[in-house]
Amino acid sequence: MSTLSSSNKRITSNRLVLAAGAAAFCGAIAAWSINAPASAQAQTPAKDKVPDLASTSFAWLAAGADWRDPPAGMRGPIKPDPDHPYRGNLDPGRGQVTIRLGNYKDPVLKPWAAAQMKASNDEAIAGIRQVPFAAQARCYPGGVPGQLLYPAEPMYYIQTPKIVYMIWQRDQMVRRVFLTDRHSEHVKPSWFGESIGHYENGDTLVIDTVGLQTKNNYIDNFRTPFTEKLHVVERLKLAADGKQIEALVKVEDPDTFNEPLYMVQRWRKVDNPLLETVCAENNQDHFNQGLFPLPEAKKPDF
Amino acid sequence: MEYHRLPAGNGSALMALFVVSILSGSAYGQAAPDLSGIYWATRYNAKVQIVGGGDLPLTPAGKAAYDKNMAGLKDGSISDDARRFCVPDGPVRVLATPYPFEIVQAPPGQVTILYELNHQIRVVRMDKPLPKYEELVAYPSYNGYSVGRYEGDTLVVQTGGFNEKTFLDATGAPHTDELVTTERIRKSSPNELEIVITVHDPMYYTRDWQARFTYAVRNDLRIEDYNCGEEHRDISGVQGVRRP
Repeated sequence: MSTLSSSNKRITSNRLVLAAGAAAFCGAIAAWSINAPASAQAQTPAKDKVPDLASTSFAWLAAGADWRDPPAGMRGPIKPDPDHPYRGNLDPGRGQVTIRLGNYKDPVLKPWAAAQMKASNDEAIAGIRQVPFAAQARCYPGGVPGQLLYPAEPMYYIQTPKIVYMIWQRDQMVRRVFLTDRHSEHVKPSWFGESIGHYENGDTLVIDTVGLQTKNNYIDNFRTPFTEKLHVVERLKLAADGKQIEALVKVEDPDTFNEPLYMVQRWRKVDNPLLETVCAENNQDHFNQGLFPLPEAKKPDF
Repeated sequence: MEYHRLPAGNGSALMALFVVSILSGSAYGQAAPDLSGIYWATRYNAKVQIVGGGDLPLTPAGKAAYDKNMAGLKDGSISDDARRFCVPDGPVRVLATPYPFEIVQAPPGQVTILYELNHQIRVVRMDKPLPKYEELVAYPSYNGYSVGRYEGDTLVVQTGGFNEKTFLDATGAPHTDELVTTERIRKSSPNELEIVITVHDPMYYTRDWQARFTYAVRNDLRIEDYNCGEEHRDISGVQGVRRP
């Protein structure tokens, strides 16, 4: 039991720890943006080798919250609305950070998806929701492939012979990749869907995901929607030096996109043990920004 | 604030246990028991049932805290955030979960316990000593900081570093940040997992007490996504569960 003064000491000490952690992350992200790595050099490890993604002593920190472009010739990710260019915290030079407004005029979008994105943009521009929905900022699962875009805290792998676990420190979000070659006959739609996978070339984990539920679930932070036909293939390749992972992600959904999209994300190895971070803590709309409400059970589950 | 709350003798005893476990355990090649799998309780109790029966052995301070919690939960002045915002359930209460959970004995040097309820994860660092109170208190957490070792067929998990935002059960049984728990986790039969937890929290309890939880082995299941306020798995088959 704490006295008031001991509580204060503890809070101070927590703040120091958290401030140090935040500084480390900011430094890490800044270093990443300056030294953006080239793609992993091709190497041909033994065919039966399993890439070493998991450890108790290291984790993987994503390079940012936006998809990067795929190799030339592939149709890339949805970009910001050219009428409302996006400016992020890490962009060089001076200028006001802006919110993410996606290019709903992109011809790859089916009309319903374009209309939904425009409505979301309009809501933000009108100031009704000053900070548009971002799954992990508001404590929702990020879905597939959206969860790959969570940058501020690291992620972890656990590799077993039958399952690869992908664990995000942020709110302890977990994806399970079943190392099999066949999806279940009936997949109940869910936030992370059903993922099956296999290793290739000793350095790549290939994940195939279906069964994704569509409510508040997006493929990016521009709130690009999809239907239950979404099929995602992620190719996560460990660099030859073992210090980076690059994902080439293909999303197909003939009811949302006129052709498949290809998108890239990167992570670098960091020395962070998995901490417990609880998203719903101190995450209310204190500044009346019209934030999307946190997940809340209006009545207890049991 | 008194930093040295655990009696020094206790720390020595724990260290001795740790050394014994290293000499007799995995460091000498003893095979770890296979505890990996998915488990699901068959019975739920809102109130923690202590081994040997009877009431919680509360100190006067513990009784005052319990009375305050019960009254606050009843009149709504205390929010049960584990049920409302799905923050982690915390010590003891997490063991009462009526949803399945999974034990993964990986990566090497770690046992990871993943709960469907509130997507809680507990990391158990194997063959490491539990850090001192003054180290743990700098980053207190809902489910605490756990270390573990194998003793024969049993995984012994010791946990400290809890915050004071959780209850030991759904009725509001209290604990302080001095709480240290010891869980003995083993397969009591090929089809059943048993966890016996010892609660050491001298500020609120006059003696250490234990609670026993059992779970059916359910490797036929997959852990599902759980997001607060949405429809989840049917848990009506778990005895004692009442959905409001």
